[in-house]
Amino acid sequence: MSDLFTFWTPVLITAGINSIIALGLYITMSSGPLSVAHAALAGMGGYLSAVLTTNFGWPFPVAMAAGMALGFVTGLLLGLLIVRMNELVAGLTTLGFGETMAVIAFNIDYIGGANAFTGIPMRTSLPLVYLALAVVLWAAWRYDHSRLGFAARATRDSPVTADAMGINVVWVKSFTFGIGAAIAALGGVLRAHYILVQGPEDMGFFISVGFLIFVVFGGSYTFWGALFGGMVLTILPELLRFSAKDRFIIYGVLLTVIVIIRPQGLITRVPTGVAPRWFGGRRRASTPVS
Amino acid sequence: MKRWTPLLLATIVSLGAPAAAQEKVVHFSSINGQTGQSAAYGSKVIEGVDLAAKTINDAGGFTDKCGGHYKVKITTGDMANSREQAVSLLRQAAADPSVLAVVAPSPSTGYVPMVPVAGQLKIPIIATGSGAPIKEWNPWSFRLNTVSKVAVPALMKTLKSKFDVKRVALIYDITQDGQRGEAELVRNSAKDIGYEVVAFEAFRAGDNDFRPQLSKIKAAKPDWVSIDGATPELAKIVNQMAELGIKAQLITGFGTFNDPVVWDLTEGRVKGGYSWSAYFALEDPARPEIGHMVQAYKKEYGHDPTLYSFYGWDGVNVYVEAVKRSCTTTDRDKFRQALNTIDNVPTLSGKATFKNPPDGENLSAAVIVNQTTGRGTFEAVK
Repeated sequence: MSDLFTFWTPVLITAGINSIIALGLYITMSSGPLSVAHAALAGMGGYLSAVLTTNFGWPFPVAMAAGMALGFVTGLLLGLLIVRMNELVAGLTTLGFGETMAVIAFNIDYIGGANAFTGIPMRTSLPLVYLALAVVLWAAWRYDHSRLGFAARATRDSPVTADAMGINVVWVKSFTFGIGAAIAALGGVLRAHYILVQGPEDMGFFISVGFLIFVVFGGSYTFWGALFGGMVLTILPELLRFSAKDRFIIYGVLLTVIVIIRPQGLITRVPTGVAPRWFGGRRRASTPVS
Repeated sequence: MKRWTPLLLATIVSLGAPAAAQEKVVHFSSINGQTGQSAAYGSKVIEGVDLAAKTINDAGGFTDKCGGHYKVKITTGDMANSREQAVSLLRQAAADPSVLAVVAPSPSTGYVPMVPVAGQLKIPIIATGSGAPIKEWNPWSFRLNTVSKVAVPALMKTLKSKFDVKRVALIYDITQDGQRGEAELVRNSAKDIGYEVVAFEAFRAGDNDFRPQLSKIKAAKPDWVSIDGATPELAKIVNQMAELGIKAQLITGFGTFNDPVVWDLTEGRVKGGYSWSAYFALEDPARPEIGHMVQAYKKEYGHDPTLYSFYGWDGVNVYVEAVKRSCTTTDRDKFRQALNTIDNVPTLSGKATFKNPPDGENLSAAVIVNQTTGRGTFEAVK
């Protein structure tokens, strides 16, 4: 039992952190933007919290809040920047932003440059990660059922129609980007205080794509999808350790098969007002046209 | 007599029991990149580690100075070139009381984040190829391989004394901590050794066009150019230097010019270039133990060992030497203190000496300054 706990504690911490960042990306993507900047946003939060706790002796909760605030402001500004761009250009802009942040981090000696920032105090624990995950899940659930959540989904599905319906598309897109970025930064803070090293590589394109895969695999239309993707895709390679050399081949094949079978993601959103059939609900009768 | 038979048997069994009970198992965790970008190095370390343990166990184990007899157990973990996985595996190893110490990764991606965690969890780790500078050492972290910190000043001093190096230009990969650290060492050693750094240009892994940086370097008129980058970028830089007509002597680290792939990609333009490297040979008449290991390795895996295989082998043998001195399979602090008594202990890759604090570097790691003479061939500069 003790061996089992020993093995699973670090895995569950990493899975929890990945799920938090994936949930941040889910909220950003709920209003439409495809972001490959979330690794950079998480990294910025991690760097700030690391510097504040290590070099200035700030208390961890305050440094964590500062990291989230930096993520929110940066995300809000990035959201404002890309709001009028088409999907492709907006995606490329987030890619450019992420890579630029990584290059900047490589060149600042104060934060360790290519050698990474080290000496970060250990503050992350299993209970803390799952407390943070629970809070983020609650926030995502509340968001999904809030006016902002409805407005975001309407904006994602058709910005022109949403605008015609009186939704402030610019505000919705940039605000949801900011919230998602703040949550990603929270994940970055927890990661930095667990790994104890924050480096520019953590902010790059491939790390962002990893988070994107979590969301797309789990299902990008519901927060359960991001949670499921983050947890399963972090834990699955650990379960495949019985085949050390082939585990990523098996992992890749499983991923491909699942994406072919369920291109919409493993968990999909049940339209509002329709209870899932497996809970005994029935589809709402369509309104008769007089 | 019948009454005495069971008693006699019990006596014989109890006399034999202490000998059997004395055989202990010393358990090391081996964490390296079996998959991912670092698998080329990591898998070789793992092979070296496994072969060392097998060789020791096949020979009947080993005996410590207190008379205890041991077999070696290795548990391997794949860090897949990921910081998170490296740290997770270290935490798992540290939480297992049967694990005495960890043979740590060759990629710095794994070793650098492991260092503070090892200090926090109080578990000894020993690096097997990581070259990145460590900002803050702790008494639990060690490094077996030759590192730039020792090798670069040795290389530059040798070149200065032999060729009176005056003007050095540097071009380095800013995204690789090891390469950047190497370039910074060349720059920072300039004043002490007596040469001038006339250019310090950066690039990123994956870049293809280095002409802007090389044009600046050409304008600075260096007589030596130090290139710190991985094979693909290094080869392109050498080729573009030739294209731009930069005629300067070449320097690099880690024996990169001696790699046949570099020779092929540069069409032999690296001939005459200088580099430092750790000691590695598949045959050395003066050291028959190398031949024995190489034969066993070929038999076990069907291919030649590399320097990284040597590091894996050496890591286990240095640990075994520390167990012999500390007589423990569980007391990590006692074992760590024993590691600090390792002084000029011969290894396949040279020698090992540790005095930590102030740091865990191998104080007697071998540094060979060499000049590339052909495809995969070189001669030592003395």
